[in-house]
Amino acid sequence: MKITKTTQQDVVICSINGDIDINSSPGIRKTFAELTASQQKKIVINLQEVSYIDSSGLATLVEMLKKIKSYGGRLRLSNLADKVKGLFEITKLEKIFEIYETTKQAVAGF
Amino acid sequence: MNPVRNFINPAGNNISNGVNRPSTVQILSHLSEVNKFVQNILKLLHSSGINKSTSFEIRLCLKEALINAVKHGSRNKRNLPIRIDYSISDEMFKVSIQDSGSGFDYKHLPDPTVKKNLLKTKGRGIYLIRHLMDEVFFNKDGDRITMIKYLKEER
Repeated sequence: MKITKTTQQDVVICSINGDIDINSSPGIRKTFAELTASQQKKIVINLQEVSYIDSSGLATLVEMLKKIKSYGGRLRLSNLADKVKGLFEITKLEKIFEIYETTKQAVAGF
Repeated sequence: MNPVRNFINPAGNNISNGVNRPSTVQILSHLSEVNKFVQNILKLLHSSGINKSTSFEIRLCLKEALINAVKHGSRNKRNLPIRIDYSISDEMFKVSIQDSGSGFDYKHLPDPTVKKNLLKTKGRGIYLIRHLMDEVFFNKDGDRITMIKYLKEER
């Protein structure tokens, strides 16, 4: 799992490459702890290169959402593969996450 | 409990005998053992022509159940064994996982999709398993889960 951070205006885009699961969750938490420590308010997570998420990975994303919301920030997700999106639908997490088809759309709407 | 057949340890290094006849594997309660076993099962399923969607669902559910066994059943005590009975046929993948714990109350799990639970960071594993596998059942004590995924229509 690898995370690449880029910035467009005042939006930080984190592109994750690899699985988001119990093995990679600690590394993801560590990377995002840096962003939340500086209270970055607009964050997009690009999931284009993520083909697998487990319940631990979903929990990690929920944890980040809560943290970012706690200081008035916003988190958006983009480019979800069909099977990954399906998990958000089954668990109803689609109700609490802002999900966009593309990263461009996610950034433009901020 | 059925008698142990084809006892293999650790982590199912030679699990090809799971195809078309039931096999039993015993792994230790550690993530590395879980990962290795799941990878081996997926190799077998891929060689039998399983599609990507079903592969994703079996991978997820198998790992969720095994990680539950490690974390909650064995309470991360590495030396405690987890017994896995499985079989792969043209029609189905069937697996039973028995941990060393005292079981849990599988009949009264909170629904992770209700509003008050959506922001919780636990409680989605069994829920996902129940949605993605075709049949799921527990033994009376709740220390053994059996999951079935039908394969025939997927090919």
